[in-house]
Amino acid sequence: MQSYSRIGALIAVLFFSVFGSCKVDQGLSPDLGVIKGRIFFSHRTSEILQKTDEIRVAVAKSFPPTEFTELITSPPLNKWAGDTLEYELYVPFGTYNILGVVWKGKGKPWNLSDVMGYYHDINSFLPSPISVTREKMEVDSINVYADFDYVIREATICGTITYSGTWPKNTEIMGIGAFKIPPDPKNVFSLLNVSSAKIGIPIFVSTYHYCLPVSAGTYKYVGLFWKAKGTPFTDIRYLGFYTNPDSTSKPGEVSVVKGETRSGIDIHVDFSTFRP
Amino acid sequence: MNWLRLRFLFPNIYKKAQKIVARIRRHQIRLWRMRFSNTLFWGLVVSIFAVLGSGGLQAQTTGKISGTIRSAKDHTPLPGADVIIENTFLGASASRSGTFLIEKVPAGVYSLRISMMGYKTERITSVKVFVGKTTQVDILLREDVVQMDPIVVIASKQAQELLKSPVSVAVIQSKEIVRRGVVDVMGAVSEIPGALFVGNQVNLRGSSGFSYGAGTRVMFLIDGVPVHASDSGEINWDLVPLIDIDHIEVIKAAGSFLYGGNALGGVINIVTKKPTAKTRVAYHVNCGVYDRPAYKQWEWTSRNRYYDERGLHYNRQDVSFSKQVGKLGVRLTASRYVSTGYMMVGFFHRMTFTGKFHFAFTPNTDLTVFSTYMRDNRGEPVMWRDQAHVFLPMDAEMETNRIHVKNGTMYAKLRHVFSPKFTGSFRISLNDILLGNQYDRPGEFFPAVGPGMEASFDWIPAEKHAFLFGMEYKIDQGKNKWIGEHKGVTVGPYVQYQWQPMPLVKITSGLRLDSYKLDQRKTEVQLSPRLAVNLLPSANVAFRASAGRGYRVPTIIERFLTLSLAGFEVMPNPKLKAERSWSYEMGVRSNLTPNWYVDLAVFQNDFWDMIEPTIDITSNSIQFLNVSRPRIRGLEFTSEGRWWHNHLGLDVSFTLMDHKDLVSEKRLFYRPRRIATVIPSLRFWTSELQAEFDYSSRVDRVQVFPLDERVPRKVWTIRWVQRIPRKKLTFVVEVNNLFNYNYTMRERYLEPIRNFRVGMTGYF
Repeated sequence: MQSYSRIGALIAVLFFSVFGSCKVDQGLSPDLGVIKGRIFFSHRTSEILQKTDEIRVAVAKSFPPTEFTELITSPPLNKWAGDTLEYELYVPFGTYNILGVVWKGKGKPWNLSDVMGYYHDINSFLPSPISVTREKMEVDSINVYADFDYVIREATICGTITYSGTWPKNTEIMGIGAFKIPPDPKNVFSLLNVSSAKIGIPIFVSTYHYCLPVSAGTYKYVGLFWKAKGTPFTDIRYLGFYTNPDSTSKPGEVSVVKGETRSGIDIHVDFSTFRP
Repeated sequence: MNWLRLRFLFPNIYKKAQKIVARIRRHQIRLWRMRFSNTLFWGLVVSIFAVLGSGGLQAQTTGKISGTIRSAKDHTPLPGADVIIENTFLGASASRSGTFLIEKVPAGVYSLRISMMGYKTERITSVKVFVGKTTQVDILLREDVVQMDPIVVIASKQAQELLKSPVSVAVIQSKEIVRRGVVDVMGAVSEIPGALFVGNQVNLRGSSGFSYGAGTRVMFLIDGVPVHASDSGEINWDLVPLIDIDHIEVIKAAGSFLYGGNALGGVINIVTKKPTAKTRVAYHVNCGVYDRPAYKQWEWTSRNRYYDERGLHYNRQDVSFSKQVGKLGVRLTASRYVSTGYMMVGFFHRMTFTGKFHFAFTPNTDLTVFSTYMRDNRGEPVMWRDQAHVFLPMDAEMETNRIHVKNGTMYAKLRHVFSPKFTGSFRISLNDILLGNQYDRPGEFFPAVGPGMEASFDWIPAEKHAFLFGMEYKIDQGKNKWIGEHKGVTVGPYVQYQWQPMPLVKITSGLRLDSYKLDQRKTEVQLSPRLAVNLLPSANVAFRASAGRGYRVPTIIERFLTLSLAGFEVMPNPKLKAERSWSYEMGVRSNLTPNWYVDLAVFQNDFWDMIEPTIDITSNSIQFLNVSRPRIRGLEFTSEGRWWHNHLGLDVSFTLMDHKDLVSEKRLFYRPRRIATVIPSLRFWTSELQAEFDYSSRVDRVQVFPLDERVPRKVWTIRWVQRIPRKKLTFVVEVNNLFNYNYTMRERYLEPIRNFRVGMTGYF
């Protein structure tokens, strides 16, 4: 009887000494970081605002995000002060490789390519990462310049993509984009200048008919980009483009006016000459 | 006037009369043929039964076995203990005085198997039965401190010792449910090694994932009868009050070879208690209070102080009454389970009533009828608002969310022992579930109705050979504004053959052919085979290996749901294909000492055409699609032991899983890679102190908010169990989630915070 009491007391002492001396882990906490800043708009008119359903700020850890679930978005923004919008975005601690301003048109679904602007280095136009840590919970002055021209699309470019050769087995994502300024094949970040894009078009097919909503204007490059499984954003490759009818090696220009649908912007991809 | 005169006087009338007579004769002949064929058919059936039961029940060649079954500890009778004559279907249950009588036993030498949940199974060999005489056998059963080798039914639809089960089977007994301080069925199933709940969906070795209640990959049975909601396939975990549960059996692999669809990732069978031989009132009372949130920022109500009488709390009361009146046994139970919840709109109010009736027409024929009715009125928080407001629902509209459920289930089973070597049972059942006034939309829901029936037969044609064959028929009907009206019919004949070619080896093979017809569509056919081998080198060691097919037909909700929800359009997909799987497993179980066993299993489950709710935010739509080709493989270790005169105990289970989709090479949604439970315990006299640590690694992938912070589950519980044998009482005092650890298993839904509970279980 006495020995049992001693054993019980010993266990109690051990229990409280072990747990009493430990720092208790309580899992999730209410602590979130916050990113604050202003968005400066150009080409803002009341007509454009009437077509706007929502404007939000979004961040992603990986770039490019392939699904909306890879984004953390703010609530719809509405604190207008002249041509600027103020925002606050609460995020878990971590490093976010891109912060962008996303737009949704009235009666239209969300479109990943409806990005009006992104936070970038002022000299290189490269997206600047933002780190939110327990030590620096509030990151302020993350200002972004946004342009409605990137998202108000009242014209359409359509065409057929044909593929020959064997698809690379490690294909993960294919996308198509229209650029007003031709991207630099050696600089993957020039992809960020895309005026309109469709990410995640069908892969392992022989043909695909596409239609790309764009704003009125002249597009100097309509082309495809490709990403392999397990590779970073910096390994995105330009795959093929719409060619000038006079020269198959040069990108063709496409001009569209408001309300027009330009067809026949066809692209051919030959995988036999592509080295993934 | 005779026929001859008629022929000459009225030739036309004669011809017509002849035709009428010929027609009548033809009709008579048809009737004769029909009668003959019916007679032939029934004659054949009777002949088969007569042949199968040849002479087995003839009194002039039989004797009797009678005796008593008592506890080895204090020699008190053990009413309800089962005695089975091995290699036959003859047996009996002990009466209130602990006596039993098995009649019409053919003369010979037999082995008896005596079992009762909570006691070690005993075997008595060389029991001799003589013509016209009664053999007396008195048996003492020793209490089982650890569930070493209980009798289970689930693995082969036949009673067998767990050690001889061809697949991994886990059992939790009512005694253990009380000991572990469990409050509801979900809590009891959580105690099974390898089982993990994500929301209200159970994962056995990672089988189910999470799909917001639409479809489950684990079959749920009450006494072997499937009771899923016929439209959504959802499991209602509160259909059976805890006090009604005798034990819970779980198969942790595909079980479609016997149970058909839904048994893709495992089977859970709740075995309810039989009416007791003695009149008995049993009760189970629990009440608990929630502590304050771990962080002041999260406090959302003045009710969250546990010393305030208006504090956030839960309580549960189960009462059952059991009585034997002649050949009729009755068990009636009422249960009330109420909670304020620990978050806003987390409340529920549940009432359950059950009745079980057992009527023994003869020692060889009995009828069991079970019915349950359950009402649930609950809030549905769905998701939290944000990480700074985890106890508030995602938006203000959700604060008025209410769900009302009425669920009725019944079955009737008739069992008859045709001969010592041949037995059959016939079952009819009905599951009816009504979801009403969902999200304040009254009148838009109609009952989902699932009637079914099953006939099955067991046959031992010769020593070392056993057959089981039968057929199941089930209808799943669903109707509401969101799915339309649909009816699916399943017909599934099955056969199983067990063969023991050598004393050390047992081979089990099974096959089930399911055909499923939905509305007027093409019938979908699925063949589900299984092959298993047991190696029994000694009485305490068993090796097992099995391969079996699983499949699941998409539910009516998954195929037809059309709904606008939170800005998303849920799109129907009538062309969804059935999910299929292959389960492979090898394992060994060893009873190292009378109170210590270990079990080790390696497994691999391959799935095809897995159905996932797929979100396309670019088109604001959600659709169930056959998307992935997952594989889950791993190992599982379980051990329960008591040492030092049973003062010291340690229960350990550990499941290691490697899961991924072979197409995208990504991890599967809502599954961790490691699950573990450790329960050290100290027991002195009638007191027991337990510490329980439940761990699961961080869920690898979630579908809707992958960037949200996720943490592993690390929950400590301490428990003091006090038994008062003289008063037939057990008290439990418990602190759940001792360190107030905050975690989620699915997005934006905080699991229970620290709470304090007092429970009392007893009977008189």
